[in-house]
Amino acid sequence: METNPSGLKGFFKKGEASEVSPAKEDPHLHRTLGLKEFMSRLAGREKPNLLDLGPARERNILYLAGRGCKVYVQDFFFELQGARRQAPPDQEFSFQGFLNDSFPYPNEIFDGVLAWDLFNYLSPKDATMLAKKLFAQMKVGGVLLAFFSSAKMIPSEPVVYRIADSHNLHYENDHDSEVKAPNFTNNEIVKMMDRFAVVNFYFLRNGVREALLAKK
Amino acid sequence: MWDRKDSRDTKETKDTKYPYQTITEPSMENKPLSPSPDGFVNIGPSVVFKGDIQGSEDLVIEGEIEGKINLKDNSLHLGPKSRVRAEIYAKSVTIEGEVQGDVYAVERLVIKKSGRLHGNIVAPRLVLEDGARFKGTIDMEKRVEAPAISGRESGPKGAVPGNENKDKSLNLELS
Repeated sequence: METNPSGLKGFFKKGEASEVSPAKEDPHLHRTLGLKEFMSRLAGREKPNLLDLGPARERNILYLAGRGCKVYVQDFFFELQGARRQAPPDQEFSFQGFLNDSFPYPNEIFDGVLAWDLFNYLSPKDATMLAKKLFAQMKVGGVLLAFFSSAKMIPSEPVVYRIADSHNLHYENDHDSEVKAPNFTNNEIVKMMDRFAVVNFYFLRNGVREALLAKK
Repeated sequence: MWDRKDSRDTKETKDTKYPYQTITEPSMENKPLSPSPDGFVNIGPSVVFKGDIQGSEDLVIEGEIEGKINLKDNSLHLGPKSRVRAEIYAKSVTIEGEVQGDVYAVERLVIKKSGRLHGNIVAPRLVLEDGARFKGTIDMEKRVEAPAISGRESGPKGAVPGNENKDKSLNLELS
């Protein structure tokens, strides 16, 4: 199992510690700075609707539901891969069509969206379409948390994030193969998410940028 | 059916008494079924049933079900080969197969690693094994209310339109 979410094998220099002490004991545990702020922005809302775009993990569901959220789970990447496989080979796959068919949530329903590192695995065009769709489906004041890698290579499929606590995420990556990372710059991310307001970018020492965005 | 392997007991042989009563004939629809001495009723893998199931016995389903399942005080176990398109209401539910429909569990829902659920969950406790696939919503605070099982005005999600067996029901009662 890979431990480095950004695909940066050996990214940490010898002797360099992560920002959080538990990571010394558990190499899969990594600091998060955006999750606490993300959750704090949901705290004032009555039974917030939260969309988790990763695979269902008991720990995440219990963590989020335990904080009063109604949790929506949709493993976006898994479904996208399935839709691509089933698409007729003689036709160009329509990402917009996939969004329309498989992402039929009503507008202004979500208070929060956990996109994790999904955007690393979409083309800029597709990522922009998804951001636009999410923007429409989010309530005003709703927040989106997304991770972007600054590494050259990333795991071939999205990392599975398991919430340890508000400061730490456990990273799961069962894939040995890697792909070229899109390496979105901050400006590209802002452009991709142009309807959102940037709450903060958090740069982590493991090469992950956590972007917290809000619908104004 | 007696010589098939069962995931709960790999040592099962032809001579072993199967602990569940198994429904294999569609003709048994609309008739009360007796539970095994252990209190379970089993719907076998060869059964394809369209209609509503309600009762007061613990139930194991290994076949295909489409309709509604209402076991208000009992547990429901959906085996690895089960394929269910139903609104499910039970005291506790364990899913090892494929389910399409909403699940209401009064006590808890368990989705095993082989389980697939596409639907919404209302349950105060949830166990989700890694590898399990789930798409839908989870509400762990909402109180589970017993649905009205009679009538078909609100069928399960994805139910096949024009179901010709819509009046069928299966009662699980102590004999």
